[in-house]
Amino acid sequence: MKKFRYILLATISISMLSCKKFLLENPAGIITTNNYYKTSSDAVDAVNAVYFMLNSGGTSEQTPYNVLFSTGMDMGTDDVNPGPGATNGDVRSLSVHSMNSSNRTVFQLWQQHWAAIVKANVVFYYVPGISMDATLKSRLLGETHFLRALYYFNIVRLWGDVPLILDYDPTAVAASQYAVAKTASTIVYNQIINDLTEAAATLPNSYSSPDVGRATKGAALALLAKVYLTMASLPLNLTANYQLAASTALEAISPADGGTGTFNYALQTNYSHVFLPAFKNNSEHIFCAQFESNAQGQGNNQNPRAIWNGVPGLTGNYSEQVVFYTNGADNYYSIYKMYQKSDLRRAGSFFTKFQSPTNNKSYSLLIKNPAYPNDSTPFFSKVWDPNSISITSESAANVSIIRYAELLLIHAEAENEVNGPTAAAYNSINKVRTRAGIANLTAGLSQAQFRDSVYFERRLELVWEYQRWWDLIREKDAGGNSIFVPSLHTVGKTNAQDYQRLYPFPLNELSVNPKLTQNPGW
Amino acid sequence: MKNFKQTKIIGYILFLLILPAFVFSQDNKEVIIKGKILEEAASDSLAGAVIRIKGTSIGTSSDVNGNFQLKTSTPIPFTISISFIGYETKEIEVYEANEPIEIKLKPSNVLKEVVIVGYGEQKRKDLTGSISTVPTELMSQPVVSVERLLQGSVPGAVVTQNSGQPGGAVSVQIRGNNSINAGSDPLYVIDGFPINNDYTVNDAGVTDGPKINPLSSIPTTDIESIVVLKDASATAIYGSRGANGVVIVTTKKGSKNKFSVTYDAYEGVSKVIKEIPVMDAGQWWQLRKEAAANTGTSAALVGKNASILQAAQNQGYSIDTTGQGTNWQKAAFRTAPMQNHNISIMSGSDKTKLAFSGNYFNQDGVLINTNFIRYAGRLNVEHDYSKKFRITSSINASNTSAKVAPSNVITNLLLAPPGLPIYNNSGGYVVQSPFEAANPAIDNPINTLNNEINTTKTNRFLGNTALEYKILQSLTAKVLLGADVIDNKQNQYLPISTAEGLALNGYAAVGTAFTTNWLSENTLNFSKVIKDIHSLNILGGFTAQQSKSEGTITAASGFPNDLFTFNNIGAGVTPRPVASSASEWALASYLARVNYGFKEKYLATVTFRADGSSRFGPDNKWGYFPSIGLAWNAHKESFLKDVKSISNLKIRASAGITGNQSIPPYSSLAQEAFYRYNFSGTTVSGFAPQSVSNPNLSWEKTVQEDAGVDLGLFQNRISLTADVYYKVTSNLLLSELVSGTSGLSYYNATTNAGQLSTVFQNIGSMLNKGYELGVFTQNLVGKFKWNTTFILSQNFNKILSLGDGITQIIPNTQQPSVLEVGAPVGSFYVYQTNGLIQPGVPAITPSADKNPGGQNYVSATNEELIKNNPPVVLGLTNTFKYGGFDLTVFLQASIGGKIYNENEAALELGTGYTNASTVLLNAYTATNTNTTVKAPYQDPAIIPSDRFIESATYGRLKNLTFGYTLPLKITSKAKIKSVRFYVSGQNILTWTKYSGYDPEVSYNGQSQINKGYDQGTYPNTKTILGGITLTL
Repeated sequence: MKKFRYILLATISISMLSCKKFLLENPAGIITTNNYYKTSSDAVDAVNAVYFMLNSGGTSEQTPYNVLFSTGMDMGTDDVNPGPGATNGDVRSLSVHSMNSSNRTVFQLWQQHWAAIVKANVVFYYVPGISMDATLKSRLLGETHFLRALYYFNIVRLWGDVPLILDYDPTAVAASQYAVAKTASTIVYNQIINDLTEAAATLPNSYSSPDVGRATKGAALALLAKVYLTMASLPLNLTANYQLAASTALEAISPADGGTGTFNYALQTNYSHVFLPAFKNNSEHIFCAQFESNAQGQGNNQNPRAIWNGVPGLTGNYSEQVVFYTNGADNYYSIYKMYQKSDLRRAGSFFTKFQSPTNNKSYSLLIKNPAYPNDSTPFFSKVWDPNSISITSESAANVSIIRYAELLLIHAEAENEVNGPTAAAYNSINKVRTRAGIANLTAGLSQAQFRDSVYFERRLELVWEYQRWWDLIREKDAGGNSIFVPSLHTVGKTNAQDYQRLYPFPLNELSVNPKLTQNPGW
Repeated sequence: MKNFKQTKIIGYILFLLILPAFVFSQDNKEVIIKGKILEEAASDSLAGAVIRIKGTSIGTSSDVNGNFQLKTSTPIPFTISISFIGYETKEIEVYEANEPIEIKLKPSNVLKEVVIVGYGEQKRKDLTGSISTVPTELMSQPVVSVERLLQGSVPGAVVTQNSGQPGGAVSVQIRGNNSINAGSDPLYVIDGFPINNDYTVNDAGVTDGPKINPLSSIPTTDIESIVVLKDASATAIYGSRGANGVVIVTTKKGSKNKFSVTYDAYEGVSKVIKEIPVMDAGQWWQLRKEAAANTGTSAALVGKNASILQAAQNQGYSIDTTGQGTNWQKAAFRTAPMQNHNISIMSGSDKTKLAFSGNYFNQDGVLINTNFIRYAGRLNVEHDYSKKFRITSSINASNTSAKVAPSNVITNLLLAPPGLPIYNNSGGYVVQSPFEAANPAIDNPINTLNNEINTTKTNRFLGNTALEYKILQSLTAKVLLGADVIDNKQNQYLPISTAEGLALNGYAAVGTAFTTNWLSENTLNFSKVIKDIHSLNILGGFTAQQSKSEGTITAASGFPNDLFTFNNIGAGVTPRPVASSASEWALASYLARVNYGFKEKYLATVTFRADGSSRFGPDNKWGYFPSIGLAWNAHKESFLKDVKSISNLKIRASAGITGNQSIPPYSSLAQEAFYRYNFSGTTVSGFAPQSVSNPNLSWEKTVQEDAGVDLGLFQNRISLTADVYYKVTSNLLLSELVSGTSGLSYYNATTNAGQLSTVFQNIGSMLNKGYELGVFTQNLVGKFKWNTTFILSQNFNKILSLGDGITQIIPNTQQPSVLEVGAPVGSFYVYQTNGLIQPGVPAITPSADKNPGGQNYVSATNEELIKNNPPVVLGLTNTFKYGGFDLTVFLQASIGGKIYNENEAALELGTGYTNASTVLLNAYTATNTNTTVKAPYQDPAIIPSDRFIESATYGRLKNLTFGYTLPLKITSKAKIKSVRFYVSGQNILTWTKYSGYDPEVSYNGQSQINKGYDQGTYPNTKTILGGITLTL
């Protein structure tokens, strides 16, 4: 009897033991920020996280260089339309330019760029205080400067004036603490130039394994040249920057091509090698989003979107469609139809048939139209991975963010704007044409003709590399007016209006950030 | 002595299992007591009353005429007790054994009934709070889990069976929905143990499709009573977990000196309530051609030599373009058998009460190759070691397993083109629709159902032991220790022969989730009546509860063949991401309650609880939850004493604060998320913060006021309970939207719902107010008995605030559901349709289709808010008894409420890529212009519009049971206490205008945010069964 009484007392007293400790949280499966950012390996991991947004947000999430630039931007160009497998209303309305500020893909682009920028700011907040090897630290900070510049460059082109956030505040909780007003885009561009200059000063020329794919000095210079070119173009039209674009491009261009670069950049002989995973990170690649086919969610998910779903054993959902004639009798212009017969880039950019891995037969979606007897529907092929046929969404194909062919075209364009169609300008564009298997550009063009030729060359060379939208909003005709509206109207996207050259700020964003004001027209 | 007793008990059981009856042993020096048992009012004889000599195991029962005869050698005088269900137990002292005695039993007064409340029990007449119990006649419905018994039987409870998956999820709201992020289901307390009913406890995260309800591990046949605590006076004793109401479940206990064996079994079949009408092959092909023509696309897509038809030929099957084609729904639905077997043994001695039970439940789903199986065992013991010491224990162990329908199956059943055959010419499955498809593409759902492995298994041990010690006559100490251990294992295999597996060359995954939840509860109870005027009951205590969970997931793909399924993951050449996780939470609490009664007229209850939760910020761990309840037993006043018709009149009022804490552990901490990237062809790791720390994170607080009246008329032949309540929940645990420039957009990446930038904060508030009415009448007493229970309740919900300057939150941008200030939770934002586009009139539409006959809208850019008010809930139960016959008719209705029918939206797209609703047979054409159905067009994007908002109002014959109990004179010859045969039907008739499978549906399980969104949900079923209850 007494025994029970003691047991009772004992249990009660045990239960009353220190409540404070009992209620403390000690997560076992989670790292908390308070206990992190202490070693050089932490610093490396913090910088790796800034690269993350180039690749993947997890299997169900689209990130800018993994599908989202296609669904949230390219669909609105004169090259791409949503295919029958694209059931997302946001993508379809963006494609025909009837979207509004609650468009989800636009919101995703906004959020994910900021997620990346904040990760860069986290690096600048914590890494300088970590005691570690000084060279490595300086390189890591250089990489972060490069990446932050890249993300801001995308944002400022898409939205114009945007908030400029360079600090990180780990204690901000309330929405009001995150409300930030816009900064003029010229100031944002200055910050981009500062970041890239800092990156070029601290980054190495190249890496060896296991670091191949990190940002290099050449990448910083090439991107800087592109930034100058963009500032000189519409809408800022700060034409003095053409000179800077040309001279900066030359700093990265190899001596064989007339530059002073020490980075050994060169065009690949075979155009399709630029895109095949077997040749990734070659001499033409200045900076790429790196993909791997290793089932860790690191694959390029764009691939099945451009595969027809009628091929046995091949997973395709046909959600991307080349803008193409549909009835044969209409006036649509298709990028596919613009290549010269001898241009190797058409075969390197499109499939017109697929081979079934299960029965080895070829399948194509024929256009049964008497006007075009042998045509079958073209599909984009630039992220095709011949080794990931069983799981097409795990393509190891990298996405080129800036490559040598584009650098040459940047130089050609800038040089033409500064000095007219000089031999140096011709030299740069003809390098690209020669590799494509087509004749040199007609000699003796006027400055405006040469400009249009470079624009056209960019379109053919860089198709489906997430470049067309930015060229559409940047490029100008002989009268200095934007090509945006006429280009889109030509392919039947007749809702397009000039104000759409800037994206709307997402509706959600305006409601939580009262300091933000909507872009005109939206 | 003790050993002897145990042996005797075991002996009893064994003996009874072998023999159909047990005859009491007889002694020499006998007396014979004779008598007759009658009902007090009607003087009807009562058959089956139990007569027992107090303090012994000697007893008998009355025969069909109410007569009994008891032979005993117990020396006179002794006391006999006479008990009968529904009547007050009577005790009579016997001094001599000559004359037959006539004993009249009084029908038990419900007010004297004892009700289990938090941490104790109270007489119903002493209650100050709003408390409902599930009527006994509805307790025997053939349902899988306890919450389904609340539907239509408890005023103020809204119960939604989310899917027809056997064992599937049920969501319950008591008095509305108080929370947006922190859970809105009530706290379930089973035999004193507050269990964790979060669906993640038995979900390792591998099985795809509807979640299995953790409460389905407890057979409803084990349950003695279900009590629902609703107002603050009743729930505040559960403090931080009381805001959503508390459901107290008590399992069956044995009784002293009584032995019985009951075998209860039923078998039946389920069928889907209805099928959704879709087109046959010929109709669909016609639609496909029209859509292509209207869009102006190539006729090649539909022509005779279309490449798709050729591709099909190449793959060894042909497409039907003229005939009936495949009826996918018919191929997948079946008449599914179910069975339940339950044996329970009740035993008891003077000091010990024992209840054993074993349960086997097996229900096949109406979708082929889906099911739910349960094995469960229970042991409840109450042992009085001495007059002061008491030990009670209840232990439930169960094993449940389910084959779950993968989540895409229903959508594919509806959308699969009817021209597509199930099998190819060589007898294998056609893997996938070759037509331009929705994204994801449409896989053969019959192949998916038959060949995918998608199972979940849970072992659950829920047990507790309590020691009670009477320190003084009026002072009792109680220590309760318990554990709830849940081990879940899930298996998935997508074979190479299915479309899902083909893309990965076979995919296998296994996962485990182990959760251990322990509880220590220590209370002191002081109870005294002073001078017959003041009654006082004081409870005080300390409790601690902690839960730890560990989970793993392992997966691989690239298998050489389908032989291993999930049993040899190492054979897959491609390892898939593996995962493991750990999380724990703890709750420490002090609680106190004082019940005071003055002359049984004026009652007051004051409760207080202090809860400390590990989930909150270091600065705000503790929350304090007081409540007060007052009641006035007006019928005890002299001015009402003479009003004979009023047998009971109680007026109640209460107010108090309760809380809610169900947010994920570690929400107040800044967490680093894991990221991957690739350098040099190798994947590397990265870390970055995915949340910020919020040291102030704290409780959701619900302030509730309640006023109620209990009225009993004509000896309680009519009793009525009515309540009104008003609740404001503030400090909502809300993922507050912050600017995307915060970079926090991945905070909730694991749930795939949190793409927005949010910070968990205590922000915003919500109002719930409503009324409840419960009426119980005994319309006829006597030989023909007729009872009626009627309940009616309605809750009004309104979001008052979502934080500074925020007027709306769209929780999932893929769905039209919205949270908007001023509107109820679960409202929608959709485009407003405005007829069809007429020739010559400019189209207003966000869609690409601007042709005449396309859908026209009021605005092409702005969506309209459609409020979704909670429904009025009605339940009407009539029970009839005549002789051995009994009949229960249970009607249930839900009036109001809206559903967004995503299935229909997909079926009315009219692209011809997938199958379509027969509604499109009346689509607009050049010759058929007098219609509201838009013309087919190849635009596969769904525009969410008010066309697909439908009324969720329904009425249904929820349960109809007809039973017959064999007369005692027959059963007594076979030495059987009673036998009842019954047939029963669930959901037999449903009256609704809803065009989907069933208006009682929720795509999102327990979440209230997206309630009323119907997409691809496993359809609900109707059931008919027959059973027997045999008591020895």
